[in-house]
Amino acid sequence: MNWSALTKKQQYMAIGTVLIAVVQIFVLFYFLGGGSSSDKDAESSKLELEQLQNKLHDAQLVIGKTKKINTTLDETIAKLEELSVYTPTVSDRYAWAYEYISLRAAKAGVELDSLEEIFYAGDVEKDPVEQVYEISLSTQCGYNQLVELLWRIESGNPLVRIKTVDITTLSDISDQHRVRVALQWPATLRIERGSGAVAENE
Amino acid sequence: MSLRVDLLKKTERRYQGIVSTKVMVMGSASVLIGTTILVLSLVLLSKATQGANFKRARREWERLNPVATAVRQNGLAAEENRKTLERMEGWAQGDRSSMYATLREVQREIPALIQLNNLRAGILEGGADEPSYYLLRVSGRALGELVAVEAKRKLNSNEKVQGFCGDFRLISSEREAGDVWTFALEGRREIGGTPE
Repeated sequence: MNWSALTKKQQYMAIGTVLIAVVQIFVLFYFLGGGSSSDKDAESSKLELEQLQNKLHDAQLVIGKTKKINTTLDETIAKLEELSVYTPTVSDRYAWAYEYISLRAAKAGVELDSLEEIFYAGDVEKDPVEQVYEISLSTQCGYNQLVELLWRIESGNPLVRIKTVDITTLSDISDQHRVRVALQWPATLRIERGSGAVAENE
Repeated sequence: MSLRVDLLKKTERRYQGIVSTKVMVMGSASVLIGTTILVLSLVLLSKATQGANFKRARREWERLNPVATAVRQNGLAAEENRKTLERMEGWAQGDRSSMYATLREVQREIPALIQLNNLRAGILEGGADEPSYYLLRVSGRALGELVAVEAKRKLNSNEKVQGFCGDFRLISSEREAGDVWTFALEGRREIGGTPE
């Protein structure tokens, strides 16, 4: 094409076309090439959408396990509630323990001399889960009576732990012994109940 | 010699091709503008779709999130309860024989020629970095030098006693008078350790 052969009008049109082409290239580069701030916004919102979709996927997976989780929770709560009657978690723990031991001592023919609560200095700093409630009983009885008492105590409560037994022979009475027994229970039995029932068809 | 005289002005000339320059220029411009509009429309459409997807996902998230959170909390609660149950299972008995059974077996295994003065059985708690032990210690008088050794042998052959404190050791033996010997036997097993 001979530029000089074109009229002024044609030259303006050609220049206009070139300008439009340049603007188009710029616009395309701007919107598609990632040069604009709105494109960065779009990228971040795309990322946010992906993250949201991932979270949704996780949530759907979790919700899919609702029935199983609720069943497990209910079972564990029921088992712990069954066990909780064997721990002195009531306000008057001493009375609870006293009653438990004295009933069994009477059945074994053992007369209790004393029953004391034992506290340790470091107990307060311990994790409540690790804290124990300790009782020490003193008595004088025969060896067989002691074995029977311990049997009654151990078999009547799955959460009682006999920490120590000290038996010393009394020199003047041959078949009687001075006995000291330390018993422990878990101080707390925490039952987690979750967030309440969740409908399974959610 | 021929002479060519051009009497037409530039504006009066006509393009001799099939398509005029004007049409070509206008066509090119139209194509460019059309392409630009198309691309921009696609970009806007894509953004609108993405926005709509985001809003839908957000609505779905707002609906499901509370339910999922509640289920997660229930899962954590169930796990905590399971751990508590596991701890309670090993709490009282642990990995030892019961106390009454151990004492009954000790009585059965001690020979008649022995009189026990003291018996201590239970948990010997260690310090912060020290292990705790199941301990069973007996001391008394034996009529005969090797009677305490015989008692040790019998105690060590008893499964229940072994299950409580592992192997017994003779830790002291001393003649008191004549054939009467004072002695002490001790069995000690680390809590969580296996009986020897």
